[in-house]
Amino acid sequence: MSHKVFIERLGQLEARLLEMSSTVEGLVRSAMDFALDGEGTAQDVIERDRIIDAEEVAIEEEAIELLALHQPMASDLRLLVTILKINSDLERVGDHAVNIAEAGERLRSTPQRPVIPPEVAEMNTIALGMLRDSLDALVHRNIEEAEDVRRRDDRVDRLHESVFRIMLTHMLDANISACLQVILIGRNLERIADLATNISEDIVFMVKGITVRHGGRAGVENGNGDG
Amino acid sequence: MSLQDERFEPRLARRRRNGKIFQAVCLSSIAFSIAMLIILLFDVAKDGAAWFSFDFITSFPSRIPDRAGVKPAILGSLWVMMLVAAISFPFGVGAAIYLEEYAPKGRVRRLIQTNIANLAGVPSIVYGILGLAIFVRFFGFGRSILAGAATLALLVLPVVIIAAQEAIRAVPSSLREAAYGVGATRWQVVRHHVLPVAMPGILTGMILSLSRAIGETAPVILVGALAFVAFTPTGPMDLFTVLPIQIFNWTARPQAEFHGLAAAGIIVLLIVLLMMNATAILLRNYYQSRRGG
Amino acid sequence: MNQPVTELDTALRTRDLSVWYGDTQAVKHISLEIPRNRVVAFIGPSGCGKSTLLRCFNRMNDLIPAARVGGEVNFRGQNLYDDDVDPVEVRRRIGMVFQKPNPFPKSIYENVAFGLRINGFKGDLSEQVERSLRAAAIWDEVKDRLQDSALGLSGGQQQRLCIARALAVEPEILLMDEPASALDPIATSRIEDLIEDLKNEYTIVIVTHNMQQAARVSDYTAFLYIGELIEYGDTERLFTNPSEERTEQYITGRFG
Repeated sequence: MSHKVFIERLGQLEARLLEMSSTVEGLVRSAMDFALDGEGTAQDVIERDRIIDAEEVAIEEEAIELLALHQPMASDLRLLVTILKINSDLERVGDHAVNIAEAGERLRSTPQRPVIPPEVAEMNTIALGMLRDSLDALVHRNIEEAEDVRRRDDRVDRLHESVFRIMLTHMLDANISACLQVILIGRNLERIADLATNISEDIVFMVKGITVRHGGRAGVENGNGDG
Repeated sequence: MSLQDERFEPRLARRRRNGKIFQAVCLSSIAFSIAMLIILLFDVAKDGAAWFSFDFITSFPSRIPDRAGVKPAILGSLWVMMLVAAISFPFGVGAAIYLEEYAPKGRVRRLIQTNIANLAGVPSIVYGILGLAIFVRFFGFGRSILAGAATLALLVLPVVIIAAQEAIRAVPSSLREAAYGVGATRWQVVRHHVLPVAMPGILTGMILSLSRAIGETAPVILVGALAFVAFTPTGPMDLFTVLPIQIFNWTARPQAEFHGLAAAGIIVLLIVLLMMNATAILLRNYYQSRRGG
Repeated sequence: MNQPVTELDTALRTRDLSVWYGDTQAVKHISLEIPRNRVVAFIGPSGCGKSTLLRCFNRMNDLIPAARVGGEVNFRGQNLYDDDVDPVEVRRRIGMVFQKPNPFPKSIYENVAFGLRINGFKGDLSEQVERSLRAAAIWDEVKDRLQDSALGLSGGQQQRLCIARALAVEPEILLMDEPASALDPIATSRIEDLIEDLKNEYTIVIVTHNMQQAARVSDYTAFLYIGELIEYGDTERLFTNPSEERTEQYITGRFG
């Protein structure tokens, strides 16, 4: 594949990935709107997720074709590998959105619904923000923006623990199953935040060429000599 | 099939016609040359066939046409040719090797090169004069086969050198590099690789040179080949004669029979020439087959 | 400029090496080290001086009258360009394989034996010929026709024969100047496998214009551009995350 065509297709692939990310974002929002406020339907969320799954397959196939035909090196290679990873992470975010919708369905069908703590809404806001900002970091190729996303994950984890404890106490006087659904919703939001964190770590790798997952930090040399 | 195209005007018919005309011109020139050659050969054969016989080859020249032969002339020519080859080959190939492989490529080399090319064009009689002065008188070889051979060797040396140079130059540098690469010295590269590959070309040069030398008359006369010999040469210091002189001698006689003898002599000369060439070609093919496997 | 880790033994070292062809400087003040028993690749666009640099290591540039060399090439504690060093001696210890296979127009056996003869090999000639042909992974294909002409072999076989010829005189370092560029992909792949095997016993420096080949075959890669050494380091790192911008541009195909 000629270099010119490769660069064009790579650019188109990245654009497709970004579009997918905003679709996924919208899906999470719809799932939460349904679970908390009853807007829309769970079925709608499930169907839209299927489209996202198909798009993930298409993006992966295109990426693999570019790898095979062009054998990219260095920054091109890292970009392509990162696109593949983010692609799969986004698809899983979609699956978590489905989980949220399904939990919401079960929640809405129980008579004694508990009060949903405000922490859940806050988790939603932060997680969606993390997701959006991580994809912005990709577009800007900016490490600071990516690092910033990582930092917010701690807050989400703490909120998640709070939700868990609160719902645990509610279980004594409200429907146990309903409380469980709320816990599930919180857990899925926490997983979405984790995935956004993964995405931002992938972006740091792509820009700097070093691996920061599993505890490493950007700025620490990790097999990369410095010129 | 009509491939009409507005932007081209191929004029194929005219170009083909021009091609055919050119081809015809070339063909007719070669046809003319060959025809001349055939007429010449035919003429010689016609005149000489009657006089060409075993006796003719084995007899000495005589004033009586029926008893005249070319034996001493044949032997003289053969002796001279062998010596010419023996002298010009080492000197010629050696000079070529030096010029191509060892000499630094500067002004001196170009000067030598130009001079060799010029020498190839010097009239042969000049070499005769040179041979007389140097080999016959100064070195004291006298009017011997050696003097004649040395003179002719000088004459053909430029051709041998140039042909050998071309052959050596044609050896691809990748071959030399390969030999140097395993740690060969320059001499080893030349002896084991360059020379064997260049040999067919060098031998071709030798063939051309000897073919010219065998027919040379003027320089050999000057060096003192005799016109009438009654003995066969036994060594390089002997007096001698060669075929062209014998032939020339007979054509100068008024009697018609001697003209027939001359024609027969020419036939003999051509046969000797052919045999020499055939030997050299066999040698060349041998070297080529050794190389190509 | 990222030299490879020097805990490894150094087979050959250049110091401020330069080469001029007449007035043009083809190699500009290059200092690098070739580690023992590793494969080092020289990459770069055409005319960057990588072949010229390679040919300094076995004094093949001596054969070009207009070439002039400055700086040092240190091998076994000696500068190869000292006055008292004989290039013929150097070339036995530092062998070379060329871009276009160039076997001698002789038999297969003679091709390998020639180097042994002229260097006064003291052992069993036929045994050494066999050992070299085996080392070059071509013994099985030619063992029944050692007296046949080498010119009857295919391109890939001829190149392996040339490798055997170079190995026969037991060099320490093997220089390969685009050894596979005249060969088809299968023959190329066999040569690359061979290089992988050979590095256990020899140090190999390979010039290639094919980056994927350098990535497949080498431990360390040097990127040259217009006679200068731009970057030199771990192959793996150079191809995933090079330090220099020009290296990055070259290997991603943005120029050259």
